[in-house]
Amino acid sequence: MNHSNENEDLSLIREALEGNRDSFGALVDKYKDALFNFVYKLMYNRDDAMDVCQDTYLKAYTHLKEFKVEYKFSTWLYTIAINTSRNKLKRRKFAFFSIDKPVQNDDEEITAEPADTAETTEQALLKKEKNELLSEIIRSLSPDYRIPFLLKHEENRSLEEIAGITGLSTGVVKIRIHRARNILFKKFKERV
Amino acid sequence: MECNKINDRLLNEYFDNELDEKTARVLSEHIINCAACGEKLAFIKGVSSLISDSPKVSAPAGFTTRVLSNLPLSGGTGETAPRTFFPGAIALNLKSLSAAAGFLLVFASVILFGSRHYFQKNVNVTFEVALQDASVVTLAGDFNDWNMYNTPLNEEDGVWSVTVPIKKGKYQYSIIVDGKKWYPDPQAEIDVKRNSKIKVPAMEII
Repeated sequence: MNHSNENEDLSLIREALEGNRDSFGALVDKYKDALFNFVYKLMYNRDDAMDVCQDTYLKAYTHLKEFKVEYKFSTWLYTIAINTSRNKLKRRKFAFFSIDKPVQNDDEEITAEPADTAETTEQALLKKEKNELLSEIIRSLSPDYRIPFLLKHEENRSLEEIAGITGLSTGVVKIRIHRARNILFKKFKERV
Repeated sequence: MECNKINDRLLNEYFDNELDEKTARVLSEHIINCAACGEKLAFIKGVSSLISDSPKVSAPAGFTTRVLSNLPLSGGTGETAPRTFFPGAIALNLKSLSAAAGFLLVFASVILFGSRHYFQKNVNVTFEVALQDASVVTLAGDFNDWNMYNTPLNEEDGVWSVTVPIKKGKYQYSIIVDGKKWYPDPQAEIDVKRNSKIKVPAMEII
């Protein structure tokens, strides 16, 4: 348990509730990258991810007085993000949507590999291919499985945290993660 | 290729280190000899590594500025105004008064309003409680409008404490643990006269 981190969040929340916008800004800064990364891996569209994240922080701000001391701010924030994402994903079924081309991150060149890993270009390309295939298969998972799976693997959260964020019991969370892995395994074998 | 002996759940739990030592060892030995389980486990490991190593996307530049510029203006969080010292028609912000004017006003208030808190002077009161397995501990009482979030305690070696400036007088207070448990319960009353330390009686959390 990281007490000082939670105390820091509590202080920032208290200050934000007193009207200090900079304190809320500090909270936004603290979690924005991890949140954006997670939402992007869930939505696979930068514009959608941006909309969801902006919406999430806005909702967090307007509901800040409802934040309970026993929550971790990051858990609470992600609960909001996931509910917002789900709504957006539901709407996609009926609308024409675009999924970003796989992999390319604005800041990253996939071809560059650090010298000390001794990974050949061939290995790097293979990894890239695997990543793309994996992303594609993860995207094909229904949100009910994709969300717990990503919370586990992308965010490394504990069962309890995932249960808190999704509102499911730890038992159900576990089953969903196991099933997600099963589905990935089957689909991967079909393709390779 | 399917394994008839080990069920899917066990294999996953093995990967997640959720099995006790004995069961884990049994599984470990089985996996060495079972191609189906070996393949599945290797896949889960592979996926886990791929995701861990995958590039992390950052929030776009100007993200925070954009969030802040979209926040509702004044009073958006709906926080109530701080309780003023003087009840009734006269609502004054103490901080904005000069010392001399402050003294006069205090004197007047004692006579006119008969407040329980006779002296303006603050004393430092330290609240201390020993707790095991608590994550977040806060202090609420008459002196801070029973605001659960306002005053977190800091921990050192299982002892949680915070020092707050309080005007002399009688108060009720509580320590709130993880937002759920309140100590003492029912609330005790303290009579604050000087710098002091209050050891909050707490039931041991089982």
